[in-house]
Amino acid sequence: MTRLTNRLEHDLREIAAGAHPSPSAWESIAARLDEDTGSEVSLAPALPIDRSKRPVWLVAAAAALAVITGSIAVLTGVGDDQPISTAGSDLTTTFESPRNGFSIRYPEGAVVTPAAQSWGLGAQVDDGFDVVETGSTAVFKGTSASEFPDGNPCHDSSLEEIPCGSIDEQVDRYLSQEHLQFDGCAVPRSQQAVITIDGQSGRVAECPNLIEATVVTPGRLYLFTMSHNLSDARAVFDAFTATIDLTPETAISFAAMTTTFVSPTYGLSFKHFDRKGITPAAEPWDPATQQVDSVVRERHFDEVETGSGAIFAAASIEIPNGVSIDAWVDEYVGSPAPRAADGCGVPRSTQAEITIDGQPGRTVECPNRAEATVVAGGRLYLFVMWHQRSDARAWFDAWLATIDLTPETATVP
Amino acid sequence: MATVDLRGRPDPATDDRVAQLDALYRVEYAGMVRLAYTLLANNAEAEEIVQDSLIEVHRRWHDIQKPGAYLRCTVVSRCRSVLQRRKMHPTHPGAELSVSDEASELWDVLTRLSDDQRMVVVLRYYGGYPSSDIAAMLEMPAATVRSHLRRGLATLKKELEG
Repeated sequence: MTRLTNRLEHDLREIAAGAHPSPSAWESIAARLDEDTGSEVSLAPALPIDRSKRPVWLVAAAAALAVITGSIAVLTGVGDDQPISTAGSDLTTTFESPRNGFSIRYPEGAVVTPAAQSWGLGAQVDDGFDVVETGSTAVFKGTSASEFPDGNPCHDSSLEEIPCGSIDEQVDRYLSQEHLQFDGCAVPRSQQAVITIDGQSGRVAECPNLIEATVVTPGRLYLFTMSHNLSDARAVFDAFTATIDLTPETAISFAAMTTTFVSPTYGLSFKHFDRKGITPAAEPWDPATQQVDSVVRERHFDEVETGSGAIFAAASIEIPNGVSIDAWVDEYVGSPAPRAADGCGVPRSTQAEITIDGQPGRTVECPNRAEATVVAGGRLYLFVMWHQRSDARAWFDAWLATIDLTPETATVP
Repeated sequence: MATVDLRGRPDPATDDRVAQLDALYRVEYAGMVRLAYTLLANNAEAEEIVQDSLIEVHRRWHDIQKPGAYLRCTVVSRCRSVLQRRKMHPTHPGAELSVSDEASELWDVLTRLSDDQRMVVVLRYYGGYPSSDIAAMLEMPAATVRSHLRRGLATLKKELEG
């Protein structure tokens, strides 16, 4: 590897030498600082940037960009004044995980707290756990990871490519990832006992105060654990797992959008997953002269670079008096005619219906792009997502669901 | 609040932030442009990114503890966005490179890596940053950085040394 890394260092230095930093760059920066600080001191900028909503550095530095995962926990050990029976016959209430692709039954009276984030992506690993508190002394957890196995080559610690090995070995390697902070029984999966969960064969291990089980379905790894202080823990664990339905098709393989962005110009707000990729519009959007595909490049939209193969963009504009919304959108906002064949050039009146913040709108999809339009307070709102994701529709819908339309706060026509 | 001159504009001579930013600029600007260029191979984009990042540092000066680290993080984040834009907008300005055949070959293989692998490799072998620093810049766990590095190097080895 030394020869390769030596070459890397040499060739990258050669590439870097092609850069020509301008000797007068400071003049340009200083001029912008004058404008910037001058605005802060005495003038309101034409397009004010809502700095209070911009991301805080390093708050999410621990968030993983690795394979998206999700999880659930059933807590049965907090505040156990009145223990709730976890006998199989008492597990009567169904909880459907909002992110993790399974459901489980729990006893009536238990307290359920859905996961706030996907496993491994929150500030705390436990952010990704749905929690059910039943009042006895045990904590039941479940987790699922998408793109497992991910199909990429496997490597040993010296960077040599190695056979990925059996599913058992891949599960062991996956769970040993540092950012997952999984502290299990440390029994190789291949040596664990067999368990069946929802008809799927898995593995289970027991160690003091902990039981863990893993199941692999096509494309998804599930992990269920229960930490406990019970003499009949295995029976409780089996009672819970017997109620599990694995529904990988319902799992969400992207991070929860928890950071709110308030547009300084367009009369809207939305949530996003904070990876510092938010950029407010630099110039107002003018659909009469700007095609949809150019607005992001030229920064006419509020924009979120998700860092996960998708860009969200949003803008709004006053609707001229007396126009037909559909006709106006088709003429000025819709995709240009040459792309009609790819699916985004369809008339708005024939597009699918959608509701955004309670307002009826329209949505259309075409390769690598989804669009939605909605009218509120005399303004047309356009939302676009460019992407390279197979789950783009679900992601677009999740983003649209976070949108608040506030046309009264718009500061541009 | 900044001191202002008679026209209501900040006086750079007395604006502490500007003076400190000037010092940061002198230390970091050229290096950051080269780093951004090594990721993007486009001088105009590299300069724009670093200048925008310095403006961002200035705006947040009182909120950040390590302006140099913040600048690097912001530059890298913006480079990542440009790489993503290039994929999604084929008309977006691309790379413009004039180097030896060997370096050109390396660049071609780098562009075929995933964005994360490419950035990790460049930050490690051009920037010389340890995994922990790269993890902070890319906002991913150090273990993931190492994973990207392993995979990126494996591909480079296969393609370049076949």
